[in-house]
Amino acid sequence: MTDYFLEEEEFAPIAKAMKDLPYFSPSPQFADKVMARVHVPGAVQVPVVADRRAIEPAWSAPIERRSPHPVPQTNYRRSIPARLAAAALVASVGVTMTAVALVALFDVNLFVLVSRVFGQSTMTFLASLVTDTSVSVSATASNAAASAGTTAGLAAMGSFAAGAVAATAALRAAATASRKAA
Amino acid sequence: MFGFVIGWLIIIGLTGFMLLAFGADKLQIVIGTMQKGIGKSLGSGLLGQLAILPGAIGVCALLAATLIGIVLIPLGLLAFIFGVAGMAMFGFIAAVTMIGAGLTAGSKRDETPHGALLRSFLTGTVVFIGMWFVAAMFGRVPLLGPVLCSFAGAATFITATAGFGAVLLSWWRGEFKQAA
Repeated sequence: MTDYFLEEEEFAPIAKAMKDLPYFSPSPQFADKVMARVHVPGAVQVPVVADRRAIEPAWSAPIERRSPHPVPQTNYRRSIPARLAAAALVASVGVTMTAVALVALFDVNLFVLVSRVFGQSTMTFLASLVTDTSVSVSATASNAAASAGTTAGLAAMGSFAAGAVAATAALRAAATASRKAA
Repeated sequence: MFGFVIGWLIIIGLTGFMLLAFGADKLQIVIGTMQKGIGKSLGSGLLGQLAILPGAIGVCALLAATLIGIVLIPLGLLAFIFGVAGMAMFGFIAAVTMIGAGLTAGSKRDETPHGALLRSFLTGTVVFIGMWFVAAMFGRVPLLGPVLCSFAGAATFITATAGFGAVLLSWWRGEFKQAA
């Protein structure tokens, strides 16, 4: 008697686990396809729906209720550094947009604001950074503009475009070749 | 011009050998990302380059949240620039290795995967540095020099951008973490 109860206790978690198993249902045509291949010698044919209705007009075929097919779920969780990077990117874009909105809508002098918030030394560092960058960009732009009309300028621009196209094509070809070789 | 090319050859060679020695698995991941789609890598690289300036502003804004952080803004910017440059160099070496692997695809002379990777890296580096050597050789020729330099610059820019994008994509997908 004790052994019987012990066995039932042991079986209880197994039964619970079996109930929790996912339900896999075959396709609606599966049973028909299987039965179409089954041939029992000497067996009487089961009447199809039309034959059954001829015998019993009120009869209707039972509605098959099947659960939807299980869809494999992909884990879309990003790594923590990737989420931090995304958050930092969103924050930086937000700060930039806020600064632009402050200047555009309220006519705030951003340099005075930054100077008051972060101090004069930070302002000097940022100003020198901006000056260096603008000098470099303007020099490059003026050189490009000066040579744009000349034959050498046009040839350089054309070769740049050709180089970009050739490099992209070479990378594509290399990717395909190395993938096939691997 | 030759000094510039030799300097870059030394930098790429040293960084490449270090990567092959200590991070060959990471290099394979980035190469795999590029093999799955160059267009995606190139697009991600261009987007990443556009995000460098907002990223630098973000670093400044995040550091400015604390008093100590304000003092550390120049150092933070320097670290950010080094980080971006390192990722670009890593991506460029991966792209160069992939080009080398494409060129030596028919070769079956390597007994180990690391040997094949080394051969691919050396072949790709020779191709790129050779291209810059040719540009340097004809650098003083009036019309040909700028044309060759422009061609080599564009090819290097596209390769570095695709590699940078592949590094960003692999990082975003968490592939480095999965491999570790």
